[in-house]
Amino acid sequence: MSQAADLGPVLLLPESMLRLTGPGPRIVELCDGRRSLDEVIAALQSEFSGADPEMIRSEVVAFLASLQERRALDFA
Amino acid sequence: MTFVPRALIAEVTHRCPLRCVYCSNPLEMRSRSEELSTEEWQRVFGEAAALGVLQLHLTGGEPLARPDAEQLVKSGRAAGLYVNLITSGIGLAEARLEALVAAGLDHIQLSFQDSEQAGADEIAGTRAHAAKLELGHRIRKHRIAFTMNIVVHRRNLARLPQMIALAEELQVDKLEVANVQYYGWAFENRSQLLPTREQVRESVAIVDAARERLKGRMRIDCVLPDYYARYPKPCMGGWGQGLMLIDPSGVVLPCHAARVIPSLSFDDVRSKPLRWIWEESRAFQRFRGDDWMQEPCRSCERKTRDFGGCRCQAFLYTGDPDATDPVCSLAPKRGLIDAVIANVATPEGGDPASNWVYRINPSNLPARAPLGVPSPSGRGSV
Repeated sequence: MSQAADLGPVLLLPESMLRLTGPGPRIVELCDGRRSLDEVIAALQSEFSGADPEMIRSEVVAFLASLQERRALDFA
Repeated sequence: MTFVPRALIAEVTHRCPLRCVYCSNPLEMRSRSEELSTEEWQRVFGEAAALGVLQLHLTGGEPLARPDAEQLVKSGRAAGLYVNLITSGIGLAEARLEALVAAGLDHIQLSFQDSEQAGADEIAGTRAHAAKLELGHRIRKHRIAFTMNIVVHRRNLARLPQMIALAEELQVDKLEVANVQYYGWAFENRSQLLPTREQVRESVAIVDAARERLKGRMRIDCVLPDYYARYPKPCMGGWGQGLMLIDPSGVVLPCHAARVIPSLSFDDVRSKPLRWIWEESRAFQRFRGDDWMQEPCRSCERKTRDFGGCRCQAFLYTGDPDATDPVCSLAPKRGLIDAVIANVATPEGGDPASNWVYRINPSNLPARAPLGVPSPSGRGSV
């Protein structure tokens, strides 16, 4: 993940990049290679305690699946 | 309108152990004595990052021919750039691979010429395939993004399924199935390399099926030959709009091939700031916007999408860099491309394979070779 002066947070990938918006940068930050999927979700559920926890779960799973499809991450 | 460059292609040397018949390097190579130093590249990476560049592609020639490749990776990372190494892999021993990863390399792109040794080594003009396979099996063990690039053409497209199988075996994140782009050495060999329309059609179906099957495990990027397209490609995303290339001697170009256009002169980072070259130099301004366009481009609704196509291709075929890219079905000179295609009606069509024009190595040239004429000693068959 990188900060572009004029674009904000971006995830740099081989020959492409992804602009991260909303909770995107925080989710990517939590994917540190040590936390499990459940731990990432739990962290976000506690940080965004006003939102429906199940909605957070399904949105995080969908977001990370789209990153996996772009080969930006793997589920260990 | 201001444009921000996002990627810098750094051709850190033109020296290479391979002699590929489709090399994208210009016919006139830079010699070792002209190459920018470690410190000069370091300064340039900082200037590029300040301009907005996010990604650095270290390429060549073979970037590992430079003993300071690890330091270049480190400098790129220190400037805040995502660093990609585009390599033939020849001579990349495990200790050096580890050093590159430790230096912060984000991504390695390993090239293959074929899925089988005989075809691969004929195209590379040397015995390279076995060494690439050996390296390819080691890369996945490192925490690094891994792309396999395979350049496809009439002589190897029949083996596309085996190439995809090789990519699976090496567990790459991304496979690039890149049709030859007909510039540089590839332009010299185009009648032997251009696939048939039927081959292109079949390859699209094979890639589509593989994409579906490998979803989530491997991405497949596919570059088609624009000779068969209805409209031109938006070459480099537009001239001087998002990308720049710096050649081994520090000359800054909008693309790999731009030096073929004789009416343009390009500035270099030894004598001018990179920002001035990008924002104000005449060469980078030359094809921005649409004032330069001729008809049918000028009144075409596609001009904001494909920018009239490729300026180098327009020049190579028509002698006029302002002309509509001749691959466009609307181009007055489309017949020139159709004539090339007509020569390639079958997979065996065109010139016999023994007439390859192999890439020369700049280390064989005197330090200041006169521009314009490739060394005749480098031509001919192996």
